[in-house]
Amino acid sequence: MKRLVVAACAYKEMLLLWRDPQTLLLLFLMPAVFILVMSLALQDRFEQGGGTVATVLVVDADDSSSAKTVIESLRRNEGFEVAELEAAIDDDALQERIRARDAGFGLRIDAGFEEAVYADGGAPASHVHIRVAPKIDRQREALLLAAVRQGLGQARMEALSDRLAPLVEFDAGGIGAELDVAYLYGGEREGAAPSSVQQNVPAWLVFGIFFVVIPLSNTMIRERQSGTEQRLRTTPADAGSILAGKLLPYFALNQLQAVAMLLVGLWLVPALGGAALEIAGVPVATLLLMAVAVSVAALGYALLVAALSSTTEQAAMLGGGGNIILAAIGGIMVPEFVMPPALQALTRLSPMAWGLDGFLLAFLERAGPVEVLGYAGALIAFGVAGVALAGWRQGRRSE
Amino acid sequence: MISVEGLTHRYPGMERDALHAVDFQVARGSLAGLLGPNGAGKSTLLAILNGVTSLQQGRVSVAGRTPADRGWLKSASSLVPQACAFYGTLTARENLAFFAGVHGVRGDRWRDGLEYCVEVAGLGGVLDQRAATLSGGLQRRLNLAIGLINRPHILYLDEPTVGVDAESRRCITGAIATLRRDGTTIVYTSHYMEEVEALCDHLTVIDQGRTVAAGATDDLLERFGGTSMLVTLRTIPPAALDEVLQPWSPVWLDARRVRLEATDTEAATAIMRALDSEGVAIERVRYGVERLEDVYLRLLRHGGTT
Repeated sequence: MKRLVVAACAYKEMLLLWRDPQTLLLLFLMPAVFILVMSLALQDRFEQGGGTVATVLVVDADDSSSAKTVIESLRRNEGFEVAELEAAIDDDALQERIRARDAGFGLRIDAGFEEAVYADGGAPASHVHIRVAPKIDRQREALLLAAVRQGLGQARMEALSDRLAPLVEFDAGGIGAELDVAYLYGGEREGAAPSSVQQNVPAWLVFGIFFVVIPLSNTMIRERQSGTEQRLRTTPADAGSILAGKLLPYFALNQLQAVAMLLVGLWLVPALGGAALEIAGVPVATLLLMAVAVSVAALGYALLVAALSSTTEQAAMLGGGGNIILAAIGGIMVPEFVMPPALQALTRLSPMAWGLDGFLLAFLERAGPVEVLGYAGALIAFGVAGVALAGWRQGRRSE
Repeated sequence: MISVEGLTHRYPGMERDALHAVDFQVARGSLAGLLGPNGAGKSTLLAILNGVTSLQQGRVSVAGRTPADRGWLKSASSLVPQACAFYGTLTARENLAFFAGVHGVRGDRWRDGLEYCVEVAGLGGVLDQRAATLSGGLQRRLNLAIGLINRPHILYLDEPTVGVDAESRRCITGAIATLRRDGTTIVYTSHYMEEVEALCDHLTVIDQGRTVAAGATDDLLERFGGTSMLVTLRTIPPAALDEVLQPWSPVWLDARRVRLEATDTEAATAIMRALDSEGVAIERVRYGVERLEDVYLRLLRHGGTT
């Protein structure tokens, strides 16, 4: 009997969903569009090193070892691509080239630079001229200045080393060497800070899953308003079986959403010029566990919204508005790592953040199911709490 | 079949009982009308009989079972609610299949049940149409058919003909008559008194949670309508006539129809003499039996005794 009730309810709910193509389309299209737009638009921001590679057009009129040291300092920085021009180019021509080649910077080292580096009180910096294109932001400009200053310092140190060499043994090695840098999500993996697509696929996948709140709560409210809920209560079917049958198709729909969004990250984003989502080595069990847990949380939330709302309009406001708030504070719309500390603390309150963090652990650190159990457990507990509160509210409404 | 004694129910936070010491009897295979204005307590009574709402006080027995036996109650009975309680985007067949599923009806029982519902409710030819596209009358018939899919022994009909056209009304009342012939015990609520009068052989009137009157339909009409004389005049009478008729408590139903209290035949004779002396031409006189609607309204206005 129970199985028949579950099957009847599940089939009915599937038919209702199938005959509402606009909603179905929204549930798949909305997160897919967000993934595409946000992954492509924010790709620069997520690039390791702080943004896109800016081209620096270099005119080395000094053609000296010290000038080469400065230029090498720029080359070592992943944020810059160095293109050397002919030494004869003057300042006006350099500026013209910057515009023509859509470069970020121009760097001109005048003749006499090395002489100034070696001379007491030579002021070598006065031989270095930097031209900045209008598109360059202050942050990028500061990076370039730091790189040039580092090169100048290294050139001066090498000059000092040359002058001291006859007197003392001095090894200037190590100046400008690479520093040990580890990224927040990196763990032991090289270059593991989230890329744009790695951040946006799980973020909008979680957001999309939570949007089942609207169709599910609307269906339940319509049942209440039409008297169908009351009619079902007069049948011998138990409430648990009816609820299970109702939730199963939405749960399956959530899993399809998860698969579809991963495919968007794997194929559609790169097809449109973005970086592909890297899933090699990501444990499937972890992805499955997180997708199940996020779905449980979303379904529990949907039941609570349905129980608290009297009309479909209220449910749309409560469910849709609630989703947007949970996404805003949960690091879905703006990544948590760019938030100020106070806001970062706030993200812990959003179940969407728990889902996102679990997925990010899987994508960035290849975390196994056990490692994301905390996030999955919290999501499932949230879903169960939603079901319990909805049951309590529904019970009071029925009295 | 259904026996309710001293049923009292109060919803949490309410100051008065939704039902207070209500008595209600329905014989097996009969068609019982449950009448009362909105908020009288009819829905609460049906919910308790259905096993949806818990029994607080009083005794309820349905075919010898108590409300504690909810599983049996729900299997043996069916409620056809006032609203069209089904899914508009599903076809009539899909709706029937779904409700058959939640009743645990499958296989041959499902096929037989479907055939029976379609025949009784007259749904042939529209089974594969989406419910929302059916006319209002056909939607009402589908609403009834869903209530029959488990072939219930007891059927609760909550205003099944509200807002339907004459053809569908006739179809539904015909279906109810068929069900009664088939031995189904039916509890029927409606605000259409002519329907109730024509269909029901037993009536219970409740108001503000209390039983106002109960008994066989003919008995009630005679008991509560037996002293009334309804006089229809040929022309609109002078205003002075009202004063002449005062000894018999005239109630003017419209400009030419007046109801008078005639406790015995002597009073009836006196009324006729008074009308004659005023030179009023009489078109029609009815004495002793009123339409159910009049009895019902009087019961609600003045109360009654069972």
